[in-house]
Amino acid sequence: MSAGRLVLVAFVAALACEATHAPDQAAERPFAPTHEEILVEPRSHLLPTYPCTSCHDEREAQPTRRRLADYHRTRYDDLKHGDDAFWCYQCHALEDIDKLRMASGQLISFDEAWRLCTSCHGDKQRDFQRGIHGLTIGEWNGKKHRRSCTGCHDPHNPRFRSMTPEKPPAPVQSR
Amino acid sequence: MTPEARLGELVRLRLGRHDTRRGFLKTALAGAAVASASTACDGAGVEKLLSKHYLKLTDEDKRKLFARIEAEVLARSGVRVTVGDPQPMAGVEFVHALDLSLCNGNRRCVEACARENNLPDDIRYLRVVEVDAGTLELANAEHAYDPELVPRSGKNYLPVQCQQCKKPPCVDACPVKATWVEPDGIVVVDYDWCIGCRYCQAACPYYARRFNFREPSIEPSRINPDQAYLSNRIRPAGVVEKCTYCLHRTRRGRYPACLEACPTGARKFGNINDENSEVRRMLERKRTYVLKEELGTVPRFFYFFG
Amino acid sequence: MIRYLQYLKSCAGCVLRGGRNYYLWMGGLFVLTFLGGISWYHHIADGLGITNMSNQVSWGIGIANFVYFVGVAASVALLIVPAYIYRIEEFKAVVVLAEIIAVISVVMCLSFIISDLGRPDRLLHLSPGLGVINLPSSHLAWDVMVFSVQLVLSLYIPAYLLYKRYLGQAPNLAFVLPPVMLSMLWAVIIHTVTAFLLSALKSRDFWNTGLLAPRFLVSAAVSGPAIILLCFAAINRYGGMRIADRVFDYLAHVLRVMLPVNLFLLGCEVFTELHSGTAVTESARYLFFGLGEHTLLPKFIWTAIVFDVVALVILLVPRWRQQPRLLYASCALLVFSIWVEKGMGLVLPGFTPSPLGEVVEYVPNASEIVLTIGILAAGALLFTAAAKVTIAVQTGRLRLQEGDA
Repeated sequence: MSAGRLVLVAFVAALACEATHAPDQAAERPFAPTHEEILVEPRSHLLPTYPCTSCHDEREAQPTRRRLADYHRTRYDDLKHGDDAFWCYQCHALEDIDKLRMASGQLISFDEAWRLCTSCHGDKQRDFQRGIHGLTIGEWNGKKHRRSCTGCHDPHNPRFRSMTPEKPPAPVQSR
Repeated sequence: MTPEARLGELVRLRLGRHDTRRGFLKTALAGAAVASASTACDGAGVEKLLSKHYLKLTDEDKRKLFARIEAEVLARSGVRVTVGDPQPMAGVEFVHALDLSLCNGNRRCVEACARENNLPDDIRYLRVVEVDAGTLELANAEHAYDPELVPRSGKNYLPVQCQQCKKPPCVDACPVKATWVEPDGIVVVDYDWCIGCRYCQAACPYYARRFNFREPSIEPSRINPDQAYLSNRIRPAGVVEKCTYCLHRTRRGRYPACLEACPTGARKFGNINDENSEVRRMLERKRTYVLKEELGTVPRFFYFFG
Repeated sequence: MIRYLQYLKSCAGCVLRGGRNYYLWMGGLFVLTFLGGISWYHHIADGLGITNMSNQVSWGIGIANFVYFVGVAASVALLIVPAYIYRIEEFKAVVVLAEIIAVISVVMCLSFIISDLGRPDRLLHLSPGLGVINLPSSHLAWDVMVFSVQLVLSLYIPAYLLYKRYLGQAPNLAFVLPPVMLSMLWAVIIHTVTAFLLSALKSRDFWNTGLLAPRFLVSAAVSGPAIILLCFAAINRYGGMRIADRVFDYLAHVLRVMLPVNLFLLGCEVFTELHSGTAVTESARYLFFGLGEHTLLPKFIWTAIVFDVVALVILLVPRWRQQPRLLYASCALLVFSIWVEKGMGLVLPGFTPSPLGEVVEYVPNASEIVLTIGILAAGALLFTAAAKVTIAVQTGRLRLQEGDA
């Protein structure tokens, strides 16, 4: 990953803050990086249809669940997250379509999408904060660049996509 | 027993710091210092003819030797490389961990490792094996799997590389001490001391060691110029090599190449002595699995199930 | 000193003179040795990449031959026992010949090992002083040590005895008995250390068995006497020296006892390995039945077992074993069958499947076979020359003349 492609923003404070909010964390050692600086990559500039207001400014939001026919048809067909219980506005903010909405009602930027994801996926949140889950690159004893949840998972279909593997080991040749 | 105590025991048992080998290494280093002091007045010609064991090299020896290697690579391939010799950091013991529930067998780690470590086409330090779901038995593992897409259904993947054992059978096997455990836990090979008997390959239970059956040839455009004497410098023919946890990167604070290449983020790496390291936290929280634990090699490589 | 040079000169003269058949034989062996030398040159110049060895099967025919000839070198002790423990005169006459077989076996072992090194140019790294020897951890380092001692012992004993005989003096027993006794002990030691070299590897389930060292010894007590018997038969036929029938009877007797023991131990191994059927016994299954399409080794091992049984029947039926031709034939069968059983059949399954379960089948290629034949030919060449000198000295044809000194 080239540093030029990604502008990385520090979220140390946010991470530490989030840890104290989780109710089952009380007994655990607080997440307090001492010698390390953790940067979670921002992603909004990577999204092809961002800002959403470039279209949604003109339209009135319809919060009811329905089949999407035109622009978001593939999104609708591919939506495999939270079974039938999920609809756009579980995550996207109805009041400000360029934002995401936490369960508490707090609006957050797409750059902080991981905060929204981890509000449901508590187990992953703990592992993510400890660096056990997710891709962390950089320095093991210094600056760490941590990929956001949506950097690896498609939030509308979070299961990992299949990949083309690299070539198998060179066969042993008889001479 | 409290979880903390159990973890403490686990860490002590597997990765404890009371190591006789390290004591030996210190003695050897002290001995080497004395020996190298006594041989410092040797003529340069003799030195060239009779190469010295790495642990007997003085700083001056190293400077000359590394310059010679750099010049040889430049002459052969036209690539300007630097051969460094990063030293282990005090208080650091490296551990690698791999989340088996995330590995999907894509082999990005294998190729990233090859590029980082200047490996020719027929040598790969990393082997990802495909096993049937429901087992980790290696006897029926598929090594050459090559489908359009991975993961295949009903299959799991298990990457294997040097486990940097605390009690490495390969180090015991070497008749000339050309391979040893460094203070930070990395098992290294002195490519200029190895005699190529391959007894270490026979001794390794993880198929982690590779022999240069021929002079390694690497396209000049693929040569990684950031090299170290004990890790990724271009090897001579007829010697054994292996994964070194990318010591030329990791001893300078970076992550190993395989870890950064993993698209699923399955790999974790760090200092087991650091309470805040990812690997330490993994050991505290996850169910871990050690490959061939029954052999008592005490790997510094853990598999876990995230 | 001058007398010794004189002795060496007459030895050289003895080696260089011979009949037409002698020259043909030696010439043929020399050509084969030369071809082996060319192959060895390519092993060094082009690297071991010219062989069929791989990272999966990292040892091949070279190590198999090494293991086999360790047995031959050690089995010479079997002739020292009757000569120096029971003090039977007929055996003392052949001890020198037997020790020559031992020293040539050791030289061949070293050739097989050195030609199998990736960096033979760094052999000095193994030497005391210049190198670094990993004692006491490395079994290979131990093997190098015990082999050096074996080389010295088996060079010294025949050299001393022969020279004394040349001078027409009786050997000083104080100079003979201690090394002879030591060489008996050493036969067990080089064998056991070599067996431990393999059986100590916890990475290789096939070798990691307590039965390996006993099997080494017992199989050596089959292949060794078989080779020695054939060599002695050749000496009787072509060498111009009569080796007592008692020696042949004794060697056949050793075979008759040790071959069933060898088969028994093999059977014990087969039963345990194949009956348990665990994953760690894949190697044994590869050896006896093959894995998937890899079925070359089973053909060899079953041929070897059939040879063993045929040889055993010949040796057990008095009417048959008393016919020299049948006895020699059974020895030839055993030389081959133990080579399969203890050489290739021991080394290769250790690597197949690999520790990660990969099955790569190794078959030696032309360059490896030529090298093997070259080393065998060099051994035969050395043996013929040394035996010729020995016989000349023993029979008194080569003797210090009064006028020489």
